[in-house]
Amino acid sequence: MNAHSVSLKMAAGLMVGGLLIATPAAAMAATASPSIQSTTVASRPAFIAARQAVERALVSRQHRLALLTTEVAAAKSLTSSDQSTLKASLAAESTGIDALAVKVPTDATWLELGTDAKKMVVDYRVFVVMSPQVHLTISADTETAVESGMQDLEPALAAAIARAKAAGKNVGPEQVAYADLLNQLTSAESDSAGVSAAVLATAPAGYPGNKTVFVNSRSSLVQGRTALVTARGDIATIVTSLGL
Amino acid sequence: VATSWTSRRMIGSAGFVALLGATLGACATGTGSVNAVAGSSPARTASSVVSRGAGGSPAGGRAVGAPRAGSKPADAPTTTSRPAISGAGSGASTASGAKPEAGPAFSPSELTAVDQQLSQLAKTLNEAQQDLANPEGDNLK
Repeated sequence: MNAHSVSLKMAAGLMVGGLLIATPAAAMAATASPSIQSTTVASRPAFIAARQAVERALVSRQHRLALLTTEVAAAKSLTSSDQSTLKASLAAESTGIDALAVKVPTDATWLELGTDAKKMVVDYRVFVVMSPQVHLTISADTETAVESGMQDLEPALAAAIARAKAAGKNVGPEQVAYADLLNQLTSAESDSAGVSAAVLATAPAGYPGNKTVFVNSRSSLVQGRTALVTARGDIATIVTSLGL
Repeated sequence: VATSWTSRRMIGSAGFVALLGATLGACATGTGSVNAVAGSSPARTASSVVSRGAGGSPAGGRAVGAPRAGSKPADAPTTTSRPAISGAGSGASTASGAKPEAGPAFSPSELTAVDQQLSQLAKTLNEAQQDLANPEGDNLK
């Protein structure tokens, strides 16, 4: 176990300030009397290591929030409403994490550091709530956009099949493919309906209970995507067969 | 002139088929990791589907002929019915009197846009899977 992982575990034990007791040092911090926890220990190596671990964890969150913000800005299929909601959530979390990143280096007691570390995790849940919230909302809106795009192609495909039939071509396979296209789109629409609203309704305070929402949402979206890939194959069948 | 147009049309069609093959290949690549997680079976289980509140889709999904509410931008043409093709081609007309074959021309560029979105969908679903697979919870990261 290297020094980094040791300090990380110490910080982990600390940040739960009650969440998780991982090391003797953390146990000491958690069980010490309030007066000891409030004693200035800024120069002690164990404290410095724990504080540095929290600082690294904050930097990691800042990087993740910046990445998520970039993803939301670049997601062309996000609805304007969902994009606004996500931008507001990301801005609020970035502000909070940035404030902690300024404060933690000045923490001089176990109590201060423990409080800030717990706040960093519990108040924001950057990795286990904000991240899936962003990725699943983008996924849901993208799936809806694909459904809409394929639906827009239906009239042209139907007309092409009708024209081929009028010209004497046996269009049985194309008609079967077209019927399946309609069914697959209907299934996909059912799978993606309501997902973005359910995901956006989650909050850090609801963790870990809300993990079920994320798991089920992703499962629905994967089913929907499977239907859309099948629908895409139906389109390919028609396009290739008719030489469109 | 007619011969030249036909040649161009044939070349264009061949090019499009090649493009189609390439994009389908890309889709298949993107599908792998998504399906590897959830399985490739399209069978649905009630427990895996997000509960839908009032206003959600009916149990059977969108009925043929029923456009998806709010799925189109305001400036897009509204589809009032799903274009059926059964029985078409023998001179049959739709209820409005229009010949079924008198529809819009197929646009490959629209399909290209759909393919790009499908690839993006695979990418974000995999990212979500990585988010959910974080075994450490939020304590150590």
